[in-house]
Amino acid sequence: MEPVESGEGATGEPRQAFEILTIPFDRYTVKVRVGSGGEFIDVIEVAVSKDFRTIQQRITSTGFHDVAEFYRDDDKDDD
Amino acid sequence: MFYAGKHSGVLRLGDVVRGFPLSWMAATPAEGGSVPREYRIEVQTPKFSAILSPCCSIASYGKSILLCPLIPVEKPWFKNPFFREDFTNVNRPLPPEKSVSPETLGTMTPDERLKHLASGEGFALLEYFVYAPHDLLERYDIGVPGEGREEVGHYAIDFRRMFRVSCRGIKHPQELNDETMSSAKLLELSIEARAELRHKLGFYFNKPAREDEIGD
Repeated sequence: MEPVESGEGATGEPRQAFEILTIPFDRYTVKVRVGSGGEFIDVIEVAVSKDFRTIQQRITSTGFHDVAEFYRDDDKDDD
Repeated sequence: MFYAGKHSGVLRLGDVVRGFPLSWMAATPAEGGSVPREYRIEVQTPKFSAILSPCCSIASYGKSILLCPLIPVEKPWFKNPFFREDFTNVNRPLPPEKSVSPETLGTMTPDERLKHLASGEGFALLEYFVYAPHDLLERYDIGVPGEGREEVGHYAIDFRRMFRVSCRGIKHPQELNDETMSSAKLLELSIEARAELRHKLGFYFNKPAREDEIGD
């Protein structure tokens, strides 16, 4: 479970203390709202989780982040 | 689980082995663009190497295997908290926001950042695969920029440093075991970790060349 956000009014004051938790459930992820004491308020969203895919399926739809320039080690000697 | 609890005794893709010398050739370019005429053979003895031959091709050509030396993780990887949490995260496709550090994201222009974040899941550090710590792999110190030295148990392989070793003792996985080779084998990957290595290796060779891309 992972808290994703808290309720807050337009002035920045707490409106009603709650947290939204993301809960993995089988092939779905469910976002639920809970109060400050952890009591259930309601379900916000049910979405299909992508984690059910096998490695093969993930690779097939995989791209590549061209980020090598951000990991360059200027002190490193080549062979 | 990154390693198999009990290894099979035969050589497999991804195995960590020891005792094999690493060699490569360095050539001096000849004048006028002709074929180089001067060569130098370099030989090293890495403490550990990983087998990069697919299981079915081990010993299928001149009793040889492809190996890659295990090397320390790269210092700049410490900048990315997602890598630092577990360097084997390098092995799997990542959402774009985890492929670079938050600081790096902050240095991008709004257009660059938007383009990067919209790019979907993908591999970063395509040339590397990281091995998890294990009691049989000695830990080492590495200088983390701005933070001093840190002890690390992870090792990496860089696919660009692959080399070939031929030895009569190298046997196909379906042949009877050979004592010499089984003593060279230290660790065997779990089925899941071997699948990750196989797929990343495949993706590394399968990536279209930038020169062959049409348009942007």
